[in-house]
Amino acid sequence: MTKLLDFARLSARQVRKKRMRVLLTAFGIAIGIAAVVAMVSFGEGIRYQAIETIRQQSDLTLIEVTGSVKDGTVIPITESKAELVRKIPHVEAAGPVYRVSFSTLRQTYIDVLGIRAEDLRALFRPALASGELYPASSSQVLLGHELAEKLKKYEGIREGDLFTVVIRDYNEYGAPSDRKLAIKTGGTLRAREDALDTLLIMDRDAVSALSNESMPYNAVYVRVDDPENVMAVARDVQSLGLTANGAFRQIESVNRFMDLVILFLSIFAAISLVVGALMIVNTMVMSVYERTREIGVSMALGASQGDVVTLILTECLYIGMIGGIVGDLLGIFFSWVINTAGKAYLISQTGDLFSAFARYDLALVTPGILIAGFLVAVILSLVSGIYPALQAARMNPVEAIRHT
Amino acid sequence: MHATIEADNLRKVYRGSIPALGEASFTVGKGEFVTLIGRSGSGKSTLLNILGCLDSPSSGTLSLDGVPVDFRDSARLVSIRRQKIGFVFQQFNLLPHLTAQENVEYPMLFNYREPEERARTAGGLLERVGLDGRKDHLPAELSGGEQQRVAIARALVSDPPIILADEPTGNLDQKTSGEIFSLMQEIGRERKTTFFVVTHEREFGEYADRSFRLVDGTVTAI
Repeated sequence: MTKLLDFARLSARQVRKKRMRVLLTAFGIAIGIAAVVAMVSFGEGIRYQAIETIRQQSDLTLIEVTGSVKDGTVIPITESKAELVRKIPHVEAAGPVYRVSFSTLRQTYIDVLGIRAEDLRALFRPALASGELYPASSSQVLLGHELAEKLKKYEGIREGDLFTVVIRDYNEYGAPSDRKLAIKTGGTLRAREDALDTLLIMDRDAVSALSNESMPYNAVYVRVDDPENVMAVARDVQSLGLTANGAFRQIESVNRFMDLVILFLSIFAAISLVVGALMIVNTMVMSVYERTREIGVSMALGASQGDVVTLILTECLYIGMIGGIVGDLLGIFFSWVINTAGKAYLISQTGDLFSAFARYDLALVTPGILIAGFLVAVILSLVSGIYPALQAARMNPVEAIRHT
Repeated sequence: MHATIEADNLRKVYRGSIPALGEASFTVGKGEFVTLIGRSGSGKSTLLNILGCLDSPSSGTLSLDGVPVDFRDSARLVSIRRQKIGFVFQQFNLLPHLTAQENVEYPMLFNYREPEERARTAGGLLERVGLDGRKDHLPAELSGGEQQRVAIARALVSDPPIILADEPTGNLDQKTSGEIFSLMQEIGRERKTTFFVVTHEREFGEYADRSFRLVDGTVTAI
């Protein structure tokens, strides 16, 4: 170990002696690293904004669990399955629901959510604009904000009104048969900006009572305690043979898409890294050639081939470290340029479309990107040094000493 | 008591060419000061490189300090070079960016010694070769004679039993050459170090205990 430290000191001397050449070479790598850092930061920035937007606009911790089709058979959500879902760790609340549809006498279609009032409370924390939640097993219903507006406008139905809906069943031959049901609107939800706004919500058991036979649930709504745990819960749901859906799926696809975009951006930026690496190979081959005699003498004085390789690679290590640090700094600078000049330009060119970006940084430099950039520079330099180092170690000392 | 250098029928033929060295057989004892005189092209350097384990003979055997040298075992050759041999070159071959002190310490980076020990050993040797006040000078700031003194100190740093010198005064004037030869002679006597010095000048024969002549690849005693 101490030997390596002494080698490091010796190589540092070489590096200092050829300061200009080393700096120029390191700069080659640095530009490549900076390009990659800036590109990845840019991609990460866009990813961050996209995900933030999804987070703000949707309910991340809500998962809709539905039955899935496996080998052609439907796995239904039975009471016991629903119970298993409820027991998944990090599940705060779970409510099995029915989804059916009614139509009014004037053919306005109404989507219906059959859910127990306590589940509705635990899952959605409903805020009422007026009226009350429905009691159990009654035909009193709760209207979503938009639906209430629509009914009022087109059907003249107001809160407290009793009105008739049509339930269309199909018999075994596919022929429809309609039943009529009188329901009473007992309350209206405040606007929520989510799916509940357009729904008619009523008690689960009241919905199941509409059917003669017992039917499996259409879905289980699940509330997860923290956005961080959503993916884990989704995996557990899938291992039960059920399907999990929700806003987190959007985040997943954004991530997949951005991974691809970042990969492509990086590949182009990485071309400059290849050029940088070739510069290192060139510099070190030249350096080895110039020091042919020195290397031969060192071998005569007791340096092994391994010692020679170590000495040359140590120099490359320095080039890599300088290149990595300078590259990271340049990368931060490039990102800053993207965030100031680039953002202003983008917004001025695209107008309202990207005005949301004004609040965010377009490029997001994270410590991880910088560490990765530094490591890539160091590893690339060491790899570039292998050929010159081996070339040095394979020298014939007799000829090397004679070299002028 | 074994010989320090024991060469038996050393031969070197470069591919597709006449022998560079033919049938070199001789022994050198501990602490002996030997000169090998020959014209350029007579195979002196080839012989010296084989003795220094930098080159391998086409045939023949070599023992250094009582140990037979296996020229196929490169790791072993490295350790022989580290422990048994010190080199002095015609061109001095000091590393230009290292000071005199650092140049003398240099071989101890490979034959590893702690920094304090390195500084002590190198300092003592520089003092011995009369360069006490010039330890921190770069080679370019030293005269030829001084550079060669540094090189001699460097060759002695691992306290090897054998010093191989390849025309050590070839780049020096007459007076300085004499000084270098007498320094080597003194050191050889003090430390019981064997000196094997290649030269093409007969006049330094006076410093030698024995002289060999190399003519057309064959070693003969004078």
